[in-house]
Amino acid sequence: MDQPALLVAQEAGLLDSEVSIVLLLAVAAVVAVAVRRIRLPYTVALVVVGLGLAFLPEDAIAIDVSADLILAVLVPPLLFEATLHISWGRLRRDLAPVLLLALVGTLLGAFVVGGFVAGFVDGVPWAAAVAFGALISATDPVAVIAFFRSIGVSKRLTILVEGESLFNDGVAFVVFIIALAAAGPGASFSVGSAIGQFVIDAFGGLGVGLILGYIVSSLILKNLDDHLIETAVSVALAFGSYLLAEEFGAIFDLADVHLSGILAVVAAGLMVGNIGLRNTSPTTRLTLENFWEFAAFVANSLVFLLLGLQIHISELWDKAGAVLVALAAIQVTRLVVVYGLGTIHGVMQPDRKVPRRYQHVMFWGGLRGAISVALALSLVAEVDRLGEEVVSTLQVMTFGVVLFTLLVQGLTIERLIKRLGLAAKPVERVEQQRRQARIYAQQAGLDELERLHNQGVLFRDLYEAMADLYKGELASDAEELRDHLRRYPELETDMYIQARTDTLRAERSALQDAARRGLIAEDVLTELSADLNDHLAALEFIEGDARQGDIVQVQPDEEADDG
Amino acid sequence: MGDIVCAIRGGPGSYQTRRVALQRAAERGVNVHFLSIVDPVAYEPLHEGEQHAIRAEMAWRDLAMARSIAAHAGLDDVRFTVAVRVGALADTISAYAKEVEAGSILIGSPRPAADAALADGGTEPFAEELQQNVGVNVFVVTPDKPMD
Repeated sequence: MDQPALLVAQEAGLLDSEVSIVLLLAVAAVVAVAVRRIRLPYTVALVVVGLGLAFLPEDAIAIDVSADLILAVLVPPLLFEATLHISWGRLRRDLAPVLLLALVGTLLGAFVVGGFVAGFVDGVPWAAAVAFGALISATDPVAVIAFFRSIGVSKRLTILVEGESLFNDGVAFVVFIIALAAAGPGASFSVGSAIGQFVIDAFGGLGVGLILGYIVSSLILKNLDDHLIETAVSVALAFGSYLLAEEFGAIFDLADVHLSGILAVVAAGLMVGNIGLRNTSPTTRLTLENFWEFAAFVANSLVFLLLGLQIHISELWDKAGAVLVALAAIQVTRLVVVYGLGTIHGVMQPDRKVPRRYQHVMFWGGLRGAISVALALSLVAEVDRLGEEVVSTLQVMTFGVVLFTLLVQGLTIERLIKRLGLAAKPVERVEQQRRQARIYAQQAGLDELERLHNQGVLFRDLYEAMADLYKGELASDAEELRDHLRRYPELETDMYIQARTDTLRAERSALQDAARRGLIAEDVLTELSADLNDHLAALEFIEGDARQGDIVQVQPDEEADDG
Repeated sequence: MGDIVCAIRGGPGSYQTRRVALQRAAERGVNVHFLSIVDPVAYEPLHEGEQHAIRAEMAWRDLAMARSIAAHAGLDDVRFTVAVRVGALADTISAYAKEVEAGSILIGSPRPAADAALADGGTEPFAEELQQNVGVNVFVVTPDKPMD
């Protein structure tokens, strides 16, 4: 039976999009493999490859980059995954500097950068310039956090950078929406209504996320034990909280009310990460974490590849002046925000002062990425009101700034962290791990040798000769490790924490195995696993607490780590 | 001559501090009471299960580390206890030292001795305050001057 022509055309469009997505994912996978060999941040490599893809024929990658695709489809998984790992306990301790940076810093950034752009870039009206200031104030920690993890930066610095980024995404989005509404011919603006709208947007969004997150965490994740259904519920929560907040006015017939979808996702993710995951079975927890890691990887890859595809090098060159103005503006603003607000916070909370060295990292590590790009790409919906030239200028400035921060700041931040002495994996710790790894590998070799001998495939003389060699190497490496620990006795505490973590995990695996074999009931597994999870969380707490130093403290400004 | 209270937080100087406490106890024939102190700001918001796990894991760590250090240093005969308390540093150490009727207190510092070691005539305000509160000698173990 023949299908209607329109349906055939739609299916063809769908297939084209599917092919394009498959192609982009394949490219992302190749890039992910390549960056393992060359030490380059994944996002940086993606943008560079994306720039190369822009030279492909126009119809080679057929994806309609709409505001909805970016904001409603790609942004929620990025934010939800990022919040799942944020401990409320840790965030609470540094909530003051995080909120100061996210709220005051973003507002300051929006207006100062907006002022620069309105003053120095031809043709960009004031409100559109503030919208740009807002979108470019959203920091993206993905590339920086990857470095933090690889070189062992303190958890406090990580939480400061991640926390600022999560909340400033939401604040930037709200200011962006308000500023855009005030832009264009015939639009009106009043400070009072803007503040009112900001408060409703921000707190309404947070409220929606907190309520939905609480319901899902306390009622569903706690009482249901099915990793597939629970994962599906978390997907519904991430996208649903975004949509409910964004469409709140339409759903409840309140035409003027708009709530922040981004803040709703952030709040929902915090709820699931801090309440929901604690109440689930280990299997569900693992499934959820793996699923969201994958979802964020896909979303992040698509955003950065689409960014590369949208940039035309010639446009960057044509608007180089505007890009330079934007770059100067964001650096000056970041300087004022980080050091200025850092100083104010130091006066407000002297015992929780953010060390100056942390501030250096927060200044230079203020990379811009997925959210800025997403908001800039969403400007395609504003062409009629702002004009094609203004939209194009704002997008090119965004791309220029993101490229600069990723390529210049992103590639130098690791060196800065090491130079400031903030890398918690000093040479002696790496050396200890290397020696331990050798012993671990040799022991595995010796075990395998014994297995081969026991199975009768290796006759005794050869087995004994090889085993002697192995044992000799093992004894020598064990002695070297002992020597190393005699020189650096403090490493023994790290070894203890690592060994205790491994043994608790082994206990947890044994329980799961016992449940699989029917030796213990599911409720016993849940109860004992929850207890082991508490002990694993306790070790993390103890590790962080130990990093605060000894009984006699160095001053916060001198201390490298305050985990 | 009373027992030694060795207050620790698990920081970079804690290994050295524990070792010095065990050595001094062996020299003087007294016991060591290892005291771990938890910061209430981070601890109190946690649920009961986590709080219990933190206290249990800290006690485990302190027992394991003390036994390991004693074995390394050939001090297996020294008797020691471990305790975990939540609270402000100075108040908690003072209260515990009075509770066990300590003869001296040992604390660790990541700073060099020049500006931290009370025992060497330095002026460490925290240690001075502690000494005044409890009325026993307070010694600061530092990375460069472990007092042995």
